[in-house]
Amino acid sequence: MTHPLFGRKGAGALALLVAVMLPLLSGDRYLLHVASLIGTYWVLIIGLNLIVGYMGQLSVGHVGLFAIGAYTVAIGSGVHGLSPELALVIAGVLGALCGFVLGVPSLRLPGFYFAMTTLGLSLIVGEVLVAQRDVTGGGAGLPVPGFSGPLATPSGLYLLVVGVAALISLVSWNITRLMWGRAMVSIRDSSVAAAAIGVPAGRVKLTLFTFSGFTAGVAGALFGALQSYVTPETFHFDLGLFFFICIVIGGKGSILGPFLGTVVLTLLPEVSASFAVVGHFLYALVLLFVVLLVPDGISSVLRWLIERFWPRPNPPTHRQLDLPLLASALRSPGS
Amino acid sequence: MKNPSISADFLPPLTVAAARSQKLAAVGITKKFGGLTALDNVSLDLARSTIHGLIGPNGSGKTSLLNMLSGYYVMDTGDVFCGGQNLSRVSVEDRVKHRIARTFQTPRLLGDLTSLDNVMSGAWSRTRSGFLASAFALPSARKEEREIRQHSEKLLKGLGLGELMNRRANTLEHGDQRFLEIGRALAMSPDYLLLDEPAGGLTDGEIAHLEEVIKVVRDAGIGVLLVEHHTDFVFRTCDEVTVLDLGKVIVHGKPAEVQNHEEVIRVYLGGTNASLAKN
Amino acid sequence: MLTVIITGLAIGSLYAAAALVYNLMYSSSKVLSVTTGHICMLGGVCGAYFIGVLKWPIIAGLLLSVAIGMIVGLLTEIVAVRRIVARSSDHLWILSTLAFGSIIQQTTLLAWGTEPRPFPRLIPQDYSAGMWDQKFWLPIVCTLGLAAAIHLFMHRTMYGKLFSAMSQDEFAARARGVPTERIRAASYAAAGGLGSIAGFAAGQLTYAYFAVGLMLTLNGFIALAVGGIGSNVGALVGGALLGVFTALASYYFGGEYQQTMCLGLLMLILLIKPSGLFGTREARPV
Repeated sequence: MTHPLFGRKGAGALALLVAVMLPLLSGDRYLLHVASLIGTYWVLIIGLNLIVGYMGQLSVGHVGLFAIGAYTVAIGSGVHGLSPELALVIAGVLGALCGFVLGVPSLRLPGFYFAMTTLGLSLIVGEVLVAQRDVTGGGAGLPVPGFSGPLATPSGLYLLVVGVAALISLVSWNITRLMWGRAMVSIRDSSVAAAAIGVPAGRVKLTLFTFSGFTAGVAGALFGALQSYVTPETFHFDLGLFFFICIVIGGKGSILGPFLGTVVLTLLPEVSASFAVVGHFLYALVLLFVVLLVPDGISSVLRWLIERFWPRPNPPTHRQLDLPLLASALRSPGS
Repeated sequence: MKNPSISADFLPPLTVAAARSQKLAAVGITKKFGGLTALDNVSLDLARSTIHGLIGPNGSGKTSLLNMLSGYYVMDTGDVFCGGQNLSRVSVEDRVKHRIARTFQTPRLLGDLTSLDNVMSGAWSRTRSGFLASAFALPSARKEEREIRQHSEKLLKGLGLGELMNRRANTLEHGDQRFLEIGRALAMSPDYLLLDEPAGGLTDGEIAHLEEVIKVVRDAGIGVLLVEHHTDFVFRTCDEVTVLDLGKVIVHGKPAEVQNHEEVIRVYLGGTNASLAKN
Repeated sequence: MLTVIITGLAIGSLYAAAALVYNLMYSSSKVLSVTTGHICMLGGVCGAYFIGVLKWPIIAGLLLSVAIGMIVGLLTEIVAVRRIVARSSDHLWILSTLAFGSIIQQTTLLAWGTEPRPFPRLIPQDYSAGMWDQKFWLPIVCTLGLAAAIHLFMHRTMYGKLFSAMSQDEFAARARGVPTERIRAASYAAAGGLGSIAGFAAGQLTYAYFAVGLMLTLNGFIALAVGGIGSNVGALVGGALLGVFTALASYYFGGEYQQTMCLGLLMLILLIKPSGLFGTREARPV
């Protein structure tokens, strides 16, 4: 779509370069770990952002898909000896299937009902993980093997995460700036308009839910490899709420906003030890603050700043029709 | 649901004619909301290259009929035909495939998107790019986007909104929003354009512009249904006019015939000899 | 077997009470507040703290717990609902009540601890009473009492009638001079107090535990949706149904799939009758 500033390829490439080099150059293992964590969260959030930010579907349950991704690698590779890379792909596919299932209720249920359903589904994943202890290790959890070869080192894993994140960000950006992006916004903002332009809301929703499930599954797999051990406790509702908050504070209809949100909210507990204890409390407080005062999030603040310092001239008050141009456009639509 | 391919002997004449013609037609529509009869055996033909006005006092059923044609309401009895096919049970989204576009009494725009994006969104039904083609920005998807963008830019400039192309739709003035919504409807390359009280809240200058735009749309081969309150605007602009009152059609014909028709005058002005042309 | 059903009815009555709280808040604001379950949880936690830890007399503990519930209910309205509803943005209230509910949960977590803690005995009774144990009967009696109180209030008092008028057509009520803003605030405070009583009464069943909040928000909503939003009879039936269903299913199939079964019941009912057993078609919020 027509973004004045955020959509430029140059800005994106530059940001990417900085992102990649900084933690590697620093040599700080802790920084590398945190950067990798931000990356894995971002892989999930960028898919979830399409669902929540662009399509307006309130899913707080994607943490369940995240868990499925992580456990797929733990079980597939750790227990059954599949190669971790194959397990990563399977995690994505499984995530996609479950994402599809998650999307089905959205076709019929109104907003609050759907949000509650996604909450329930994520809790069900938790229950299954604890109950099926023969497969999942129950409450004690499972170790997750890392990837092989050059990806076995922290730097290697970091580069993998960055690579996946960059690819999925590009894909996501493509979807939002082409016709599918407009169709998604119509579903979010005006179902009447969406119907009037012929958008098959059900099909679009299911497609996007499947895609977001794929990214969540892949993100979970990367997360599992990064943490090298997973338990059901890790995938509590609070984490699902965290993902959701990153998007809301980022602002709807934006990719940069939620990215900044993810970076800031992930870094906060790492920066301050006391924050880490009250982390979830402060996340909820931030959400409340944003919803009450800046409901359109960081991206709206950025937009306001841009318009403040680079204001556009007021449009002229007279409208000048160009009937011949209109007639020619009506005669030849071009497709 | 009547099947138009059944032998004509079994169908009333009006239905056969409607089924065979290239028109958007409502045939014998009746719709009750609880105890209220919104439409009572109403029929209306909208032909291509025509501007067909639909007027009537408040509550006469004008918008209900428009909603019936576009698929937002389902009738109790009667049918809607388009190009020979029975659309009565077809959903709103699927009617778009029959190239039926509409605007709304209050513009339903995507406020956070720019004017250009809003118009481009109207071309959704013409896109062929699937999800994966878009996801990987394949050349076919990018070409389609370019073509739609060029077409939409022409529509915007044609409608006088060229300077507002990159402004968010919710920052536009009311009049501009109305024209923007028409632009979105035209981006579909429709065969039929249903306008629901498009002159609402427009200045005289804007109404004059609207008249010119509607005529250009008609000349391009599109059938325009103009549901309106501004009766003088309707009589000036339309090729034919249908008048509704309390859910029934009371007269249909050319503007000159209709505006001097006794029944119409009685319904609007309460029984004087005054002609509606003085409105 | 009878014990299983009684257990089911007991936990079901807590779900029903949460559904009653949802209904009360919904009818004055058309908002389904995510804080509902957390307010009920506070009743249990506060009761355990005042009576169990501070050793206050039971009445004092009950009254203060109810007062806290009312305050939190009122705060929900002031902070999370009032401005949002005035701005009429479609689903923003889901986010604001979600945030406020999490704040309540996290505060409780920090202050009370991560582990469930026991709730004191309210009536002298030894622990061998089996299915006659007060931990089953207190919540059941309490919820029935609350439902009866709400019914009497709605139908027998002047304020109740004003409230009904407002919940059916807020615009008309305001046009007639009904102070809808104040009634909404009062209804949230009352709902908070009721939720707190219910949580207090069920404390011995659920233990004083911060995580009860989220569980009640979800299961209370399921009871509400099954019974039909806006119907208090539906809330009671929905809660009972949910409680007994999960208790029986746990008995036969093991107790590890509580949430799965609750959600399964919800999906089943939504498929058959989307507006709930006693719901009307308009009552679904979009």
